Amino acid sequence: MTAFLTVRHIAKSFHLDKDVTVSALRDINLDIDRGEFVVISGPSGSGKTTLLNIIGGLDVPDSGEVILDGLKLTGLSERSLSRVRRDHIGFVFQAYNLLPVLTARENIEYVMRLQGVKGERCRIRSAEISEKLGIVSLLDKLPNQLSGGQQQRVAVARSVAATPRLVLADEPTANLDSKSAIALIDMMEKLNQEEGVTVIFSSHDPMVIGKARRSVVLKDGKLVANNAI
Amino acid sequence: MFRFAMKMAWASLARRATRSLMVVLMISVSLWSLLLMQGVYDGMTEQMINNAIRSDSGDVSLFRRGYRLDPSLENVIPDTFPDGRKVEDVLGMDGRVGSFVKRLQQNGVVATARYSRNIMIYGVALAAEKKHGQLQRYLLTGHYGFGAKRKGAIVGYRLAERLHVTVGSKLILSCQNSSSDVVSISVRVNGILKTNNMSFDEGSVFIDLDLAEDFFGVHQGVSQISVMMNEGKDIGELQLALQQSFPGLDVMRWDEMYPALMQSRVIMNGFKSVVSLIIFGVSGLGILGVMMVSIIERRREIGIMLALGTEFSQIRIMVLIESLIMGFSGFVAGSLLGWVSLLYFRSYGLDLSMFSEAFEEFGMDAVTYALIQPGYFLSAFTAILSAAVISVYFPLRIVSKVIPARIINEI
Amino acid sequence: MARSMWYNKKMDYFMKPMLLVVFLILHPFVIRAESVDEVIRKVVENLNGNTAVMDIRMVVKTSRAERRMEMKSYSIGNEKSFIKITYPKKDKGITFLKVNKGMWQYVPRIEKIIKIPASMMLQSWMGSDFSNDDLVKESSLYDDYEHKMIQETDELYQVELLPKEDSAVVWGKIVMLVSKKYLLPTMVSYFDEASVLVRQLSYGNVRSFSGKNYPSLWIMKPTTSDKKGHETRITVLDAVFDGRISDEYFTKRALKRFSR
Repeated sequence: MTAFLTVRHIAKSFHLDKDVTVSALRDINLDIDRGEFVVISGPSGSGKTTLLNIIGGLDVPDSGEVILDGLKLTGLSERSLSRVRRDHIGFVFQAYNLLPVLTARENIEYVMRLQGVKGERCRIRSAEISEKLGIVSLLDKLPNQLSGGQQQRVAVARSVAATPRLVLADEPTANLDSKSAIALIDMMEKLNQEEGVTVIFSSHDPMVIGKARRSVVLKDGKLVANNAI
Repeated sequence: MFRFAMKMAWASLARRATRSLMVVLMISVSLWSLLLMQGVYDGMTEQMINNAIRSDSGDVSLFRRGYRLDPSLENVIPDTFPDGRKVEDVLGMDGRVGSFVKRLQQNGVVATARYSRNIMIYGVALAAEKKHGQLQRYLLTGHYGFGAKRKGAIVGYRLAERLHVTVGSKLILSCQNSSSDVVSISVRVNGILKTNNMSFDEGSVFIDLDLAEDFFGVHQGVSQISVMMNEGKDIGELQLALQQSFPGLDVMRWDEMYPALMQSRVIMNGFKSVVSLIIFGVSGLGILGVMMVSIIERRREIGIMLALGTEFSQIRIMVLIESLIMGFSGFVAGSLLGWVSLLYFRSYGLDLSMFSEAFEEFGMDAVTYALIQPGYFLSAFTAILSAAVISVYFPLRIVSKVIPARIINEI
Repeated sequence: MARSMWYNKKMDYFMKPMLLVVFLILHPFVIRAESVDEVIRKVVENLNGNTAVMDIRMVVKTSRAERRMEMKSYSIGNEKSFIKITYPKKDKGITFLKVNKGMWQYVPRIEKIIKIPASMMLQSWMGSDFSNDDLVKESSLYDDYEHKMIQETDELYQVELLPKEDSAVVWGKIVMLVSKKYLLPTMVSYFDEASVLVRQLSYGNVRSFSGKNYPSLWIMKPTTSDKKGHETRITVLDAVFDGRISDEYFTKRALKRFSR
């Protein structure tokens, strides 16, 4: 059976300075099934972010391929990747997720608007998601009026509002206190269950890592472990 | 999608309200000054032209063919042509002609005991001139008339200054009459005129037409017939028609008689183009500066948008709309300010009398009434909006160099 | 017969004394009014003569330099005159003709006859303090002015000349001092309309030329501030009056012909 997400022989290097080249990823191979709740862990600099970027089509590998739900991402044009991200992938970044000029609600509805969803439906959907995440009272606030934890929750809401197939979260809890961190991951798991969306997130927080159902470990750009929890 | 981009654009501008307003202010103030300048200068030029038209050339002037090259008393327009026609009758019957006046003129000398100057002596009919170009409106002091005995004279104010004469002073006019004899008469200054038509103010003496006829020894014709058209008639058409009626005469439009004034207009247009370019530049640079900074500041924001699936083209539209909103707002504000001030100066005039001496050297009135022409706003609109569009070219190029991954990872 | 007898009686006892009284009272005005015009007429006549041939020296002084010229002039009354410059060499041969209120000049250097136009009439004649117009218009002193006697001494009449209404003369007034002895002017003062003195022409050194008394020294002095120190002196070296002058001198041909 072909996996939902197939990562095959992915390698990526960065040229920093003059002749200094850093190998971020070396020959990564990975299969993820639909609906999984996966964590990618490893020390910092191990390539977690790079891998997530490549899976999400935000970056292009030097070699290898990524196939998402039958669609080969590697080799697509910038424009097509853009479309894929818009329609199929949701993102939660470590920080600075939200568009500062928009309210929480508008942020949540952003991708749906990009997709051309009608205003009425956007509203209903954003209301629905906000309820689930307990952020209804924050909807009309601007990001600078929200705490870190609140901002992340809004980000999560946005990431699933447009019903993507895959949600990628790069260290979503890194800037939160432990209580908020746990709460956020719980919320993401809830969405994973209720919405059926595949979630891949990265972290180096053991408490958070423990919440995942599968763990992928990276070290020095190489995949060293890939186990169910 | 467009509405969404509009919304994003507004939101971005509103969030940086101060900065956006500064750009709008910059554009509107420079537009305001441009409009003011255009209106005032155009007003000045038009006034100069009108002064010339009303006091001298009329819309169209008739001369005997060859008079302009040899302005002697031999080259006069005959009162009656050999075929029996009279110029007066033909003009009187033409519906395009509003009014006309006859003038008999000759070069001569005006002298007092101490000073003398070369001038043009004009024999005119004051009543007709009044109806025609409202010459009486230019009267500075004295009296619009030649006196009961018709032995008065009206002189330009500059000439009066140079001769050190005032109302009541005696002037001796000398010239060569139609028999080539040098003849002189004595007249008294009745009135002093200020037309701001330099050649008049400095070099003319007006006397009664009948007196001039006797003085010059010319009874069967006049040197010039100045014609004013009725409103809305075509000057070229009239010129052509009169020329065909009178092949022996030169029929000249005012702009043919005053090429210098036309040049002023042309120069003014050139000047205005330059200033428009400056406005264009200022607006463009203003918008460019702000947009550049704004976009660089928003790298991450744009990165997020791109990451979320926004296409470059959509970002470009958003940025363009921001720029256009600023440009358009600047245009509207500047236009409003400009329009209101021009309206004011059109009604009340701009008093530049502190510069008046310099202006009078050039034959311009010290009080100028501005013009308002739709063309001003149209060209400003084009200039500002093109500036808005062009100036985001560089900022947009930066956008396309923003690669989502790298931006997101920059903390 | 009765009338004449009555007349004689009245004359002796009444009319004569009355007439005498009236005569004495009116004498100054009556006699003066007549004589002023006569005086001026005679002055003009004496200055022009019927004909005149004169050798003249003219010295023009400005604040910077002094220029000397010599010329010969032929004139009939004041209607026709012909002048030829004889000195200095650079101006020698320049001729002037005044005839019928028109003035012509011949300049040998450029071999051209120029008619002096209206615009040049007020310019100075040959650089002097006389204008072209002065040379053309002198006769008008009699015709163009009203004459009024202001004062009288044993030797001089002082006459005020005011321009007639329609006279085309620039002066506001002219005041002339006339020698009673010679009925020649001694000093003519020209005023503008504001009664400011513009120039003075003095006539002096009366000599006898072929039996006629004539001022041999004319000095024209402008009095305006811009012409300070300027002066033109005309000395009549020799003159023959009332002789015969050929009409040929007063043609345009003469300008060129007698230039050499």
